[in-house]
Amino acid sequence: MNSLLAIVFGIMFGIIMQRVGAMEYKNIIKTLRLIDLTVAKFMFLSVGVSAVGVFSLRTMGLVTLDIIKFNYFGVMIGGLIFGVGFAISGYCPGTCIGAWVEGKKDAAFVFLGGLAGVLVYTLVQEGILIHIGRFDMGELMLGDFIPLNTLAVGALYSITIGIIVYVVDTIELKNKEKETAALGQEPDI
Amino acid sequence: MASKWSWVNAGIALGLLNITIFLSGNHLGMTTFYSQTTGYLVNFFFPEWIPDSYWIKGTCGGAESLSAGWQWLLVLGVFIGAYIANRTSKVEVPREDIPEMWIGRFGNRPRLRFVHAFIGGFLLLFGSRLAGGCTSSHVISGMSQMALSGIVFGMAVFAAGITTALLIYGSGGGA
Repeated sequence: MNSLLAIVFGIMFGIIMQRVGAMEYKNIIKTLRLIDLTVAKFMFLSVGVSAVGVFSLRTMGLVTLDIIKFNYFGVMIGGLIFGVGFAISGYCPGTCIGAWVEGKKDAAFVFLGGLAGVLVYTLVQEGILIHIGRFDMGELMLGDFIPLNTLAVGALYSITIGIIVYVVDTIELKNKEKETAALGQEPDI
Repeated sequence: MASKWSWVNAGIALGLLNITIFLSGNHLGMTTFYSQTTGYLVNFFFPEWIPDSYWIKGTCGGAESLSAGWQWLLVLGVFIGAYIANRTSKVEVPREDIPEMWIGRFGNRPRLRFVHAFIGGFLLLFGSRLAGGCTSSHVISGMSQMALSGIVFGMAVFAAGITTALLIYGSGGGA
């Protein structure tokens, strides 16, 4: 049953990512070049929607958190390496598989590079883990630092993300308006 | 149904899907699939080179063995989902070998693009393993739980990603 759920959730995830355009190189790169932040707004809106839902359900005892350990060295350096790969490839580990299905040949090479990356990491991980093990701070989340009800912190967190996404969107719209206005005025000058 | 969804509708849809995944006692993640696939292939061709447990260490799935587990099936679903979405899309998705935007910067050189793609993919998964997750598990799933790991990962990804993209394409706007 749970296996069937995995496939169903995967299908839904794949459809959403395809429909919003997150599987396309140009949309990822436009976001990273700060030309069009659609993919970033989509991602963070989904986080905002999820957080308030997850913490509400947790209060009702229906959901348990599953937090990835905060090894600040691993997460930061890993994130920076990931970011460089993100900009060079124009895909994520998940979206390159979908893009490959859509007939994008280069996405297949991202996938193969990913397999190679896992292989090399696995070969050197013992050496890395010995050195970075001491940076592990355990399973930490924002609620651990704020002396408030976790659900309240979760709700504030969702609202904050919502406001940031809204402000970014408003700024983008204004810039676009300015651009069109500037283009429209040119012939008169 | 329209063929492209606005980011607002898609964001809400992904949020609701993410909540449902949490309710089912699982969580989103794409990296484990890579570890399980690579581990399975290597163990098939070179048994006894690397122990099974080495492959799974530090992935976002928490799987104990190299079997096609939950996270593997999730990616299988993404495969099917992308196919369905592609086939039912009213907007024609160009079946391009290499992206047009990339050609605009580097010229029509498929081999060079494939080298870039391979290096990019290598860095994506090497970074994911080091960080213990990828965009799905750290950002979509992790940040939804206010996990410090997810928040720091997300900031690092965008800091490095934006810098690299601006270095590659130059900071001037325009499509």
